[in-house]
Amino acid sequence: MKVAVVGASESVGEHVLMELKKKEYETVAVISENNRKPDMEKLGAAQVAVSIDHDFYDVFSGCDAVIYISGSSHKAGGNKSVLIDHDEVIKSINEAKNHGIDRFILMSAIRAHEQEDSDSRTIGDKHEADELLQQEHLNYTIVRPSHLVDKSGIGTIQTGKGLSTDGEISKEDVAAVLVEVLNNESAFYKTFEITAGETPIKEAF
Amino acid sequence: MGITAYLLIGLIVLIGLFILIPVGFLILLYIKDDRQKQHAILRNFPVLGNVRYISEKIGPELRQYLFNNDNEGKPFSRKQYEDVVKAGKYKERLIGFGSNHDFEAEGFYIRNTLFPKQRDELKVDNTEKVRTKTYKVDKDGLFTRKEHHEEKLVDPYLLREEDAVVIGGLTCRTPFKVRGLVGQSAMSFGALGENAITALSKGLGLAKGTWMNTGEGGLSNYHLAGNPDIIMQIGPDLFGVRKPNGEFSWEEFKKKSEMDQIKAFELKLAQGAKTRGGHVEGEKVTEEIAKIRLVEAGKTINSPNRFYEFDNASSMFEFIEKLRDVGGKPVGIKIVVGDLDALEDMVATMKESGKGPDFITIDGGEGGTGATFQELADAVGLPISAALPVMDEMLTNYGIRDRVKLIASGKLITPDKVAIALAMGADLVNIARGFMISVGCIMAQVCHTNNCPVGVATTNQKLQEGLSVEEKHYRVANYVISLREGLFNLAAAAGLDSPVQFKRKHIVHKDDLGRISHVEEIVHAAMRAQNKK
Repeated sequence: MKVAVVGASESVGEHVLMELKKKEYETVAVISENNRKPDMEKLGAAQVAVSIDHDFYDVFSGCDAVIYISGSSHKAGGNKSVLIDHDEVIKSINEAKNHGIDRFILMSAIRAHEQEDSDSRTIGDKHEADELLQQEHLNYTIVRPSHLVDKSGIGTIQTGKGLSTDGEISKEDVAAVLVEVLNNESAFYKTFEITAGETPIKEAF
Repeated sequence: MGITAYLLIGLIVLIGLFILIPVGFLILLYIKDDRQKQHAILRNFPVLGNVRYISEKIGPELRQYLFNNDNEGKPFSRKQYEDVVKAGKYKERLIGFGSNHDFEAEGFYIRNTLFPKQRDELKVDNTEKVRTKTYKVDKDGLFTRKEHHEEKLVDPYLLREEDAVVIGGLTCRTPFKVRGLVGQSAMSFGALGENAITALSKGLGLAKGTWMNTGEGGLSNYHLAGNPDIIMQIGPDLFGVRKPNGEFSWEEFKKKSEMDQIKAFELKLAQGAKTRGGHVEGEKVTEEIAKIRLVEAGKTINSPNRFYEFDNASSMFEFIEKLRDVGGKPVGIKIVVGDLDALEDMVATMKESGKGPDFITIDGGEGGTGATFQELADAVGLPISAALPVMDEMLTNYGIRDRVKLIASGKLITPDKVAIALAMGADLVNIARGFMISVGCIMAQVCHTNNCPVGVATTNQKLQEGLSVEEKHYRVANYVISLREGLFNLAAAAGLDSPVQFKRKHIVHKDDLGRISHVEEIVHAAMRAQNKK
C-alpha cells in the first residue's frame, strides 16, 4: 500500500513517516520546503515531493491513501482566525478524488469544529473540510487529537466526543493512530477525538 | 517546698544557661585570643576581632548569593551559571524584558543579517529524537517551588551528514566524524568522582553527536558507561598506556585504539591549569585508580612536566605518525598558546614535513579546572579570544589549515560564546566547567581539596552519594542539546543555515568607547607585533 503524507515535515508528520516505515508501507512525503528533503528520506519516505505554490498533486498518482497532517492546535490562540488552512485540505481532497484515491485520513485538532461565534471563543472554522470529506463519499477518517506534546508514546488512548481540552497526547501516539486507522475498518467514515488514555490503540476503534 | 521555690530554682537555672555559659565562653575566648601570637588583631581586640575572620570566611558565599550583581562573579557570573543550570533542568533559554548583558563593556558581537534563515531552511538533522527528561514548574512560590520531572522527546539538533566535522579524514584508517560542534573537555576520573563521570558519559551518550575527553587520568569503565564517543587523552605521565617502568607501552596503546568507543587520541602538551607535572598522593592511588592508570597502588605519582618521548616539533610529529600508524585513529595535541615563536616553528615544521597532528586543542589561559598553582592559572597563556584567531591565521598563512581541525576551549559555556569561538576559527568547542555545572557543581571552588560539597570533583564516597547519576545524566544531555539548538538559532540570525559556516566576518569587536573593529584587524595587529620582535 502506498501512502502519501501531506505535511510530513510537521512534527507529527515525522512520526507518521517513522511509523509507516515500521509497518512497511511505501510512503510519499509531501512537504513545502526543499531543504527538508534529506530528513524525509532519512525517516523512510520512498519518494519526496516538494510543493511549489502548493502544486504537488501529481505525486498522488499511484497512491492508495492520503494522510493529511495540518499544523493545527486547539491552543493556537483565540486570535488566530483559521487554525488550519482548510482551502489546502479541500484542494487535497479534490485531487485525491481525481487520482482515484479512496482513503483519506485527516488530522486536525479537538475543538476544530467550533466556529467564530462559539461561546468558547476558540475559533476553529475547520468544519468545511470535514463536511466536504463527508459529502464527497471518500472513505475518510478524521482524527482530532488533544494538545500535542513531545513525550514518548504510551500506546494507549481514549476516544470520544467533546473531550476535555485539558488533555494531552504524545505526537508519537497520534502518529500511531493515524497509521493504525489506515486499514482498520471500524474507523472508516468516522471522526474521532483522541487523547491519552488506557485503551490500546489497536482496540480503540 | 512550695511552688515558688521550684519557680525560683527554675529561674536560676535559666539564668545560668542563658547568661553564665555564654559569658564563660566569651571569657575563655578572650583569654585564648589575648594569649595567641598568630593574629595581631585578636591580640589587640580579643573576641571582637573574630568578626573579621567570620566575615572573611563566609564572604565568597555572601558575594555569590547576595552582594555580587548577576553579571559580576568570577570565574562565572551568577547569570552564566544560571544559564547552564536552566538549560540542563528545563531545556529552556527564554528570557523576558531584555538582556542583563553589559552592553557598555567591550566584547565580541555576532553580526545579524537583515534576512535571517527560516527554521525550515536550516541544515539541521532532527530525525533521531532524543528521549530525555526535563523539569516543569507547576508553581513558583516564595518558599516553595513545585516542579515535576517529565519525559520528553526532543530534537537533537545534529549537523547534517554533509556538514559533519571529520577529524583525520585524509590521514587515518578510521577518521572521527562528529555531528555536533560541542563536546566535553578533558576531565579525569580521580579529579571527578565516578558518579560525575558516569552521569556525563550517559548524558553525552544520550545526546549523541558529541564527545567525551577522558583527561590524562586514563580510560575508566565510568567513561564507557553511556557509550559516548571518546577522545582519550595522553599526558606526559602516560596513564593507561604505560609500562610498569614508566615507558610508553605500544601494546597497551594498541589495545586502547582497538576499542570502538575511542575515536581519537590527544597528547596533552600543556594546559591552562597545569603547565607543570602532576602529583598524586600515594593514599589517593587506590587499587582501582592504579589499574586504570597502570601504576602501582598506594605509591605517590610525580609526573614529568613534558613527554620524554619527544622534545621538539619534528620528534613529536614522528611520535604522532607512529601512534596513527599503530592505532589507525586521529591523533591531536592539546596546547596553550603563549610562545608564538615556538608555535610558528611547529606550524612551519608541519608545512615542511607534511606531518603533524589531526587536530589541535587550544585551551585559553582562562581555561582549566581543578587544582593548580595560582600563578599558573592567572598569568600563563593567552586567553582564547587572542590565541584562537592567531593560531587559525598562522595555519592559513602556511596553507595547511585544511589538514588540521581546531578545538577551542576556555569558558565557552553558552551558545553565544561558542558561536564567537567558531567564527574566530574554531572547528569544534570543548567545555569542561559547563558540564560540571550540569552535573551539579555550585562553584564552591574547592576542587583541589577532595571536599566538593555536591560530590562532583571528589572521590569521597559519602559526598558522592548526593549526586544521582540517573537525574543528572538528563541534565547533561539537555545542556548539550540546548547549546546546539542555540547555535542553530544564532546561525539563522546571522543568515547561515548551519553553525559550521560561522566565519570571522560574522562577528565584530566593540571596544568600551563603542568603536568597532573586525577580527582581521585584531589578528593582523597581533601578527605585526609578532613579526616586529
